[in-house]
Amino acid sequence: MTTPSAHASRQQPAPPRWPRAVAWISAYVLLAAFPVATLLLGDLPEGGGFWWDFAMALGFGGLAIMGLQSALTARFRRATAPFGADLIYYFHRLVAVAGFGLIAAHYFILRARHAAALGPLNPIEAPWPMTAGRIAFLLFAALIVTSLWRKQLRLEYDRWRVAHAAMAVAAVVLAIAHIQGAGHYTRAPWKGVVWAGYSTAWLLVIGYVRLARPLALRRCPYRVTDVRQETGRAWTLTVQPQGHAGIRFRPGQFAWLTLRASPFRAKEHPFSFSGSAEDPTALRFTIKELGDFTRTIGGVKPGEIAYVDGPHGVFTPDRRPGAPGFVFIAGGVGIAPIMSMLRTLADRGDRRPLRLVFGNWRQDDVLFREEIDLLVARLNLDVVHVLQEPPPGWTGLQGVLSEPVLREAVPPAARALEFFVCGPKPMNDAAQRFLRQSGVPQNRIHCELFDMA
Amino acid sequence: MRENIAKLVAGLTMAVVVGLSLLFAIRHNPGAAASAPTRPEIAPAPVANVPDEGAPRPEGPKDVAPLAAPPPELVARGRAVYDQQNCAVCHSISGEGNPRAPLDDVGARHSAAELQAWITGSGVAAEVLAPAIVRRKQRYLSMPASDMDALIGFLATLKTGK
Repeated sequence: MTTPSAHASRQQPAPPRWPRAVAWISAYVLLAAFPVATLLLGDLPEGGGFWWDFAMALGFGGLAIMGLQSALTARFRRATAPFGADLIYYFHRLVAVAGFGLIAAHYFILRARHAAALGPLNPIEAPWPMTAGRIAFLLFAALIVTSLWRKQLRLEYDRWRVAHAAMAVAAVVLAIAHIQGAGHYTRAPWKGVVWAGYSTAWLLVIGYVRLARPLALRRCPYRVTDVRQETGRAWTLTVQPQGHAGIRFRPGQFAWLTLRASPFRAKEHPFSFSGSAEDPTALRFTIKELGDFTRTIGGVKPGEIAYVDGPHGVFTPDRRPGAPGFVFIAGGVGIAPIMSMLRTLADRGDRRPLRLVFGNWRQDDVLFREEIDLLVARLNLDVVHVLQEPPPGWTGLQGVLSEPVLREAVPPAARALEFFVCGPKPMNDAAQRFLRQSGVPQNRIHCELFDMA
Repeated sequence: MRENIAKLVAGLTMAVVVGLSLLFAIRHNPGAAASAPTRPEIAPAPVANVPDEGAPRPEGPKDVAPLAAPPPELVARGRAVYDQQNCAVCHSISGEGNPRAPLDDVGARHSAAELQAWITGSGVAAEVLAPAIVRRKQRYLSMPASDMDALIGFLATLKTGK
């Protein structure tokens, strides 16, 4: 790797993101806490005992968190921009467990201390608000189980998404009915207004996700112009905007892609852009056959309609315009967003030092091998291929991208640069461990929190 | 690690929600520690703008003609009706059931006629209770007279506040 002869980034220095991040975090915490806070305000009947009132408040808090879940995944760009959609989805999963914990605590405290107040289990004999609460509780439990262990349960992604949305809506509606029917805390008129406002806002978010956004997507269709087979069971799909200007993205970002379905059917899948961000005429996605949907990509024909919801994500060197250079660590199809970065940097004439460490199983699996060789001529780029099963006579590095291999692939001089890591989770974890042990500060290590490649 | 931001915000949210829940439980149960018994105070409930669910004691203790001691069979039958009608979903006796509307001393404060009015959401009860609760209680107007008599007989025995 050589010293940069020119620093050719076209990006303007990014404005500080933390004030907006703090504002959105504060808004979230306030919205989650507001229903419980309203319990503390105004006239209330006398206490029902410590555990009774504590359990009730926990129930309100749990429902507030579960209700906010739909806002988290609504992909409001202003709200996700400071964090990245991957972090928001990570938080969505994390806080779902926390919210369900509150709801479970609400139920089990009452079960332990006031079992008789829960009435009979039989829905025919039980008061309807209690039955509504029980069904909501079971639906929330089912949401958690089917989301955290979807792959282990072998639930197909598209069906799971439909079921997830349906169960979430049903659970929140039933939980609100449970509160309205059984609760003592929402009868004051102004509290009724607050809860009506909360319920309306929640319905508006659902309406935005299920109606407004799909409608906006349908008005801006794309047409598939090329389906190219790459090495290693991967395909590159090229789409072009039809009757609109299309979108501009930053290298490394991703979008939700809908093929062969109306955007109203929510059959969308997240894929990284693999083309140059400097090419406004087309969007490229490189997709490996890994699941039910991706196995159908090869059958897509030019001329088919596609819908693109994006761009999303903060996994981009454009957020680090002052970086002295970049090291990219990619495994398999994790090269897709990295290729977008390399192609973009090449189109921009960037001369900062770059290093690509690219791990694959065999030489025939190496995606974009020839193009990467060509990019070496256009960029200040060093490439280190690592193969698990190298061909005879291979003189490069061998093995998985584990810490010992990375120690050889990333010399100490390169550790002063910015790192972008994209690949299977074990590789991501190993790379991050290695980089931390090598003294690379956390803010110079960039990694998606789920497999978007 | 960016995950730490998510963990921090999730932890902060939980801390705020659980903290406010604790504050709510402590503020509305002054003097009650976490280990306190679950039975609510038996003190008379004030007439509130937001009436409690069917607690038949909005006016506090008053002089009522003591009910004649009902026969044990009637009391037992009344207890069975109480259980059968799932009264514990909204009321408690000796801490069992919903503590927001304890019935522990209703027999000492109400006549048989008043008890019936509170059970069915009629008379004075209809004026004090929230409309939704009145509607819910009015289904007991169709309760068989023998069940109603037994339930009133059982409630009339609740005089100790314990």
